[in-house]
Order: sequence, then C-alpha cells, then structure tokens
Amino acid sequence: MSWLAPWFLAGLAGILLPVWLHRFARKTDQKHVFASSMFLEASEIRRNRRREIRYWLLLAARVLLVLLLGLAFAGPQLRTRVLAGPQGATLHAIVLDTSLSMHQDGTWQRARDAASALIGSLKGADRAMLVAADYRLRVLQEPVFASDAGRLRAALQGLEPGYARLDDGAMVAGTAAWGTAPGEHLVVHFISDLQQSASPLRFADLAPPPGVRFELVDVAPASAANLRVAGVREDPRDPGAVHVSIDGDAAALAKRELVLEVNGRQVERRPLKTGPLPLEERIVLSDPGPGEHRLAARLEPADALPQDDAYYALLRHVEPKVLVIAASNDGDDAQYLRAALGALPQPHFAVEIGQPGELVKRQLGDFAAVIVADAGLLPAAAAEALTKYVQAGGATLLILGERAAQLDTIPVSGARRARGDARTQADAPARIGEMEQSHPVLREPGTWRQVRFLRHVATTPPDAAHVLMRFTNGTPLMWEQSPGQGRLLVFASPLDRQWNDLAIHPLFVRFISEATAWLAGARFDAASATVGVMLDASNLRRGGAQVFDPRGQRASMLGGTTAQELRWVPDLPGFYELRGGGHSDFVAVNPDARESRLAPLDQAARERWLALQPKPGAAPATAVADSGSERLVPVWFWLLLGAAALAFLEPLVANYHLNVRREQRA
Amino acid sequence: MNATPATSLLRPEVLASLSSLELVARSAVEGFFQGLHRSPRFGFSQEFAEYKAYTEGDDPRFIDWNVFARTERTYIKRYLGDTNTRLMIALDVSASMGYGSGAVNKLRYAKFLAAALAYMTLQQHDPTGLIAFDSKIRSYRPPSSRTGSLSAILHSLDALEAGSQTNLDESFRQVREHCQRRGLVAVISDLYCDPEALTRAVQPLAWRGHDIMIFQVLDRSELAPQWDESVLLEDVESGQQIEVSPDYLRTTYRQRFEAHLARIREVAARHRADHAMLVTDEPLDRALREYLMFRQGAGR
Repeated sequence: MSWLAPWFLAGLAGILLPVWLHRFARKTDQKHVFASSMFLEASEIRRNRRREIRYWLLLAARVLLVLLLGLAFAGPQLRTRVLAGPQGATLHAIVLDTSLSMHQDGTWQRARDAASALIGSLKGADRAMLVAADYRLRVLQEPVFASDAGRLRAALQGLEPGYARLDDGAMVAGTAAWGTAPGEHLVVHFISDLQQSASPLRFADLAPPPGVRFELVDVAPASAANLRVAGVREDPRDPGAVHVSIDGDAAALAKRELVLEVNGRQVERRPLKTGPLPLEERIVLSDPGPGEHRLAARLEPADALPQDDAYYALLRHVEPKVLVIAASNDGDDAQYLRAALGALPQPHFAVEIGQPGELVKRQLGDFAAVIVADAGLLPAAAAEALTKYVQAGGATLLILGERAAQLDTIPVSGARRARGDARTQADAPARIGEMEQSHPVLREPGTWRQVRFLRHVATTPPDAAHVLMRFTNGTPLMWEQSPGQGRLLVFASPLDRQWNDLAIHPLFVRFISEATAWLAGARFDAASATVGVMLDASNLRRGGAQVFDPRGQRASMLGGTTAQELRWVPDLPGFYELRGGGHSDFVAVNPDARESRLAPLDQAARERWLALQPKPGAAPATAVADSGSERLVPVWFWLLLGAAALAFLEPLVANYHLNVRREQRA
Repeated sequence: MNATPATSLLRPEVLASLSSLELVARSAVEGFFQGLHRSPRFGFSQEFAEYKAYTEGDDPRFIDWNVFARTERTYIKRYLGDTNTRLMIALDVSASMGYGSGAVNKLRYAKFLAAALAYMTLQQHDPTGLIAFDSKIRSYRPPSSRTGSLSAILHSLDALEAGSQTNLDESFRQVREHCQRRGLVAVISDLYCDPEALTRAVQPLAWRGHDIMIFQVLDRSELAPQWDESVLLEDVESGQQIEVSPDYLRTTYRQRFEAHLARIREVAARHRADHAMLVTDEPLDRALREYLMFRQGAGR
C-alpha cells in the first residue's frame, strides 16, 4: 500500500478525541452509593450493563469514523495484482468459423474436435472464451478458467454453422475489442476452413491488433469440388424465359441435374452438360401468368457443399402502371416523362398519359404512381381525388411548373408559395446547395450540382416535410411528404427545359426511374438479398411488417417507418415473407457467392498473414512487462463511503441512547 | 478550662475511636460540660420544685422519708429539672442512615448522639427510652430512669444496623403507641422523606403535648457533593442508579436540597418542634447544646 498524502495520517491522532470523550463515560460506570436519589435527576436512570455495550458501540463507530477519514485523506493506494493472472497467463479465444463453407463434409466436426482439444489443453491460470464468427462475432462463452471448461464445452455443443459469409478481416478487427487482464496474453485460435475468398480486400486488414496473437487451425477438407447456382434472371428480351447461371468447380458437374421450381412446383429438371464454367441454362417457362413468382433453381444431387446448391429469385410479371398528368399528351414534359419511364429495363412501367380530368374519372388505385407535370393544372376535384389516393397509400410525384407558380397553396402537398419573385436570373442560374444523399432517389450529388435551374417555384414546405434538396440560397427544390399512408415527392421546378436543363442531363432518366420506383415501392433489387447482409425494407414497403423466415417462423418485427426500423439481417437462404398492411412481399435471400468458393488460402498467404503479427519471441517480453506491472488501486473513495455511512450511523446510535433515557424518564 | 481539648473530645472521629458506646457517651457529655464553663443558665437538675403526693407508679426511691417521718404521708420530692423530661429517642435506622463519606457514617453519628442524650438525661434520672425504626419499629426500650437503663439503651444502640427504607407513617404510628405519656421526643433521622409525611408523623405527637426535637443528621457529601466528573450514584435504599453530572450536583441538587431543608424547618416550626441539622463531621456539642436549650425552653 502506498499513500498519496501520508502526512494526513497524522489526522489519525483524532482517534484520541472520542476515546477521551468516552473516558468520562467509563468513569461513570464506577458506581457510588448515595444516601438518597430524592434530589437527583431521575432522567439519568438506566441499567449500567446496557449502557456499557452501547457506549462501546458508539465509541467504536466514532473511532472508526475518524480512522476512515484520516486514511481516506491520506490517499491510500492498494498495490494489487488481483486482475492479473500469474505471469504468462493466456486468454485463449477459440474462434470458430460458422460461415456457410463450414458445412462441407466433415469440416464442422473437425472444427468442433479442434475446439474441444483446445479446451482440454487449458492449464493453470489460463482462460478461454468461445466465439462464433460469420457476418458478426458472437461471444458464446465469456472467458473462464480451466476449471469451468464444462461451460465452454456446453456452449460448443449447441453451436452449428450458419449460412452467412465470414470476412476474415472483419473478424481480426473484432478481436481488438476483447479485453484481457493485465499480464494476460490474448491468443486467438482461429478454427476455419481458411477460404481464400474470406480474405478482405486489403490483405493488411488481416494484421492482428497489438497484443493479439493468431494461431490458424485449418479444418478444411483436403479437396472439395463445389458447384453452385450463381443466379437466376429473366430474359429481358423474352419475358417467358429465365437464365440459370451455374458456377464452381467443373469436377462437380458430373451427374448433376438442374431443377427449377416455380412457386414450389417443379417445372423443369435437366441434366447438366459438361463444359466450361460458368454454365448458363436457359429455361422457357410455360406462361407463369401475371404477378410475382418465386423461382428456386437447385442442383441435384448434393455436392460437397449442399447449402449453396439452390438459388432463389423472384420473377415479377407485373408492370406497374404509372399515370402521367400533363397539360397535353404532346407536351415536352409528358414526352420526357414517357421516354424516361419507358427506358427502364427493370422495373418496367406501363405509362399512361392523361389530362387532369382523368384523375376524377380513373380508378387511381390501379396505378403504382401518379406523376403530375404541373400541380397548377389540377382543378379542385382532381386535387381532391389525388389527395385521397395518396392518403390511401398511393404515390405521387408532384412537379411545380408555371401554373403552380400562380397558386398560393400547392394542392395535395399543402405547401405555401413563398413571397417574392420566383424567377431566377438567367445569367445567374440557381445551383443545388444541399441534398440528402442517403435518399434512394438521389444517388449522384455531383451530377445534380451541374444542373442549372433558371426558374423554380419558391415554396415553403409543410413542417412535416423532409426536404431532400435545397438551392444554395436555401430555397427547397424537392421534398418528401407522407400524407396518410402514401408517398409524395414534390419537385419545385418543371421538367420541360424552359426552367432548367435537367432533361438534357443523363441524370434525368435515372432520377425519374428511381423516383418512380421508390414511389411505387417497386425497386427490383429490394426483392433480393444476401444472407448476413442488412436488408433495408424501406424501399420495399411502407409501414411495419412481420418478417417470416423461409421456415415460416417469425424472424423479426419491423415497426415504424424510419429506415432504421425497417432493416433486418436475414440469416437463412430462401424466401422471406413480409406480412403487413393487408398484403405480403417476398424477398429472395441467397448465400453470398464467395462462400461457395472453397479454395483455401495457400501456404504462402497463411505465412504472410502470420507474419503480420509480432514474432512469437517478442510477445512474452511485452507480456512479462505487463504481468510484472502492479496496479495501484485508489481506495479513498471506499473509505470515504464507509466514513459517510458511519457518519450517518453515529447519530442514530447516539440518538438511540438518548431515546432510551427519555423513555425511562417518562 | 480551655474549650479546645474538650471540644476535640467531642469530634466524631475521636469518639469513633472509642470502643464502648458508654465511654463515647460519657466522653461526649463530660467533654461538653467541661466546655460549658458551668453557667447557671444551663443549670438543669437538682433544683427543688415541689412535693407531690405519692401515687401508684411513682418511683418509691424519690419518696421524701423525712416528710413521711414527720407527717406519715408519702410525698415525692420533685425537682424542677424533672418536669417534662421523659425522653423518647426515636432513631432512624433506615438504609440511608448507613451512608457516610467520612470516618463516621450517619447511623454511627446518630448512635453517638442518642447515647450522649441518654447518658445526659439518665444522669438526671430522667426516664429515657429508645425506639429504632426504619419502615417499622426495629428496637424498643421503654422510657426508664432505673439503674441499668443506660446500659440497656446503649446495648440496644450497639446492636442496631442500617435497615431498609424509611416509612415514617408506619413507624410513627407505632411510636405513638409507645409514647402515651407526655414527654420529649427526640427524632434522629436524615429525614429523606416527604415533608408532608413528617408532618403526618409528628403532628399527632405534638397534639398530644409531646415536645419534639428533630435532629437531622446529614453527611457532608449530601450537603455539598464533591464530584468533578459525572458519577453513577446508587440509592442505598431503592437501589436506583442515577448518573448525574457535576454541574447538576453543584446547582440543581443543592437547590433542591435547600428547598427540602426549608420545608423540614417549616414543618418543625409549625409543630413547635426544634430542628437541628447535624453534620457528621461536626462535634457533638452543638447537638447537646441544642438539646439543653430546647429542654430549658420546653421546661418553662
């Protein structure tokens, strides 16, 4: 023990104070006979024996109080090695690769055997922890000593590999978060098939954090031939045909068959032809009909890694209809919009162009989205119909043009036109100042800033609006609103080249397609995902939903409407179903293709990896230094805490004595 | 005669060194009279007062045979000092009387006093009796002036020990039963009692014509306790333990004690009783002087 301010120990002399005070109390214990108590103060009566005990308690409390105060102010520091194991103790982190590739024949069993052997080899003060690594690091068992090895074995017993991908670089970086006791070395035993494809993009990312030593335990089979279905896509030129891509090792091609299922029903089975890989099979479907179809392409019989023999895809024979409302069918804006929407291969929209009156006549619920070329064109009845459509869950892109510039309030949106000249000088075109780059509609901020806006309609969006783009002067150009259950995008400048040059930028087509797709909730890529990769469902649907995994079990509950609340990580391949809002959406989830490449790291790569860490001889030097260092733990706080407790107790004890006296006096 | 050596003979510690209570009594009384320088004012005994016809019960030793020879009638020769000198000593032997901080405790001092009074009165052939009491009568010697009475009284005194608590009501009820004839009652006690109880005790005696003299014997430490620190005091009678501070003993206790003494004096005065407070470290002469003065006053 050492002291920060040892001269405060002189304060311990204060112990004499309560002792001196209690000296009188002890003298009173000397009993004297007296002729009569007639004239004595009766309140002082009590039994001597009890008083002695309580006085000793009080004296002890007071002495301890002074003692603790004196010690606390002296700043004692305990020299401790409590947390440090014996010199050279090791924390063994047994990291098991639970990625998809560990499903290979016998690989997982070898991994478990290796882990068991490591657990069994624990000795002395060494500790061990068990970690599962795939797209995340899961600590299955916190560090325990060898005496608790049973807990490690129990955790290992229930562990099975998953379907996600392991990135070795991410795993290595994650080990930095594992704390060790002072003087303890961290040795990571990485039990894996050591796939080459698990390496990070930068090999340097495999460098262990300082103080961490890696040991690679290779459990990969000597050789394995694997074949996988790399993809299923619809032929863009022939909507009734799909292309199935097959990739992998040619050795696994022999005697394999390709099976295609549509909505759970087998529609095709054909043997695979030997030939160069990748192999592509074209299968013509017998009119699956309109709607969304679940395709599953399988390879049979199973090979070394059966978990990647199937590929899941959604075939959408749905052409979302988009209604474009313009002043005339031949106007620039109508033509530009039609051209932009028609240029999209996926999703393919069926575009109809109509005049504002169509909004009243047509059943708007049939349209995935409505685009209004100029909000000022809308008569009251049309505006009301459009508002109801949006509030019921519809989607609208509302463009503000010359007619809208004459309105005080923008229909459907409720935005108010700002005072002042809406025009911008031609010689000083407005530029985009701020934009929400994370929004799915806005992907290319650099290009947007090249667009010149000669005029725009200056408006003040409603408070609930989320402004996505502003001019450099702060005027909103585009914002998003959520009236009711629908989506509304408002663009405060027309698309007819008279007010801006957006239409002549390549950005235009992409913007229109992205905006329309987002409004319609029909982004094609949203319907497919990869195991272990976070899926953002906000592009797929609005509002909450229950997520059911391919086994039919509820995997997650998506609540709210924010992007964070509509995300989850699928961990099984197959079709996930999102139920909610009266309908279901499917998401096809497939394993990461890199897991199917079973080729292991070559010896040279492994050596380079291990060479990234400090030499084995250097580690003990650091370790000895660590283990030899003693920690000084200040304990003044606890002493003060004890003193405070005693300061609280002392008057209680003293008052208890007084109470006894008062009671006896009464 | 120089009074100093005589007074020194009356000092309690000197008397205490004497083995015999009779010797104590004699030393005290004779020492007292040596210091008086024999003044007629304090003459007490052999002065003739009257002749009284002999009646049954009178001591035949006092028959004047000369008168009988001349007149053939029996008369008793009465002296002035014999008038109302039937003395009954009521001695408190309660536990509190056993207290003492010096060489002589209160009971012993009271015994000295009682012995001296008995010696002095029996020298004058005054019938002298003794009642010792605490909560009840512990010892009783009826008043008698016969030869041997002194020895009997002294023997009784010698045998007395401090007893239990004081109960004046009960004790004096019994005292009254033994004091049917008018006389002088000397109460020797520390009077740790309610003054009203003292009133109830002595009032019937006073109404019967008894002259009452109250000797209140106290220890010096009762008058002025000298403790510099808090002290745990145990009542010798009740066993109560009381922790008191020096401040309290210096202030409140003394005030209360003085108030008690004042009430005792008031009670005594109310019943024409004489009250003398005696402290155990004081010589006995003051007590005897008080007695003689009182007796003289009572005789008139």
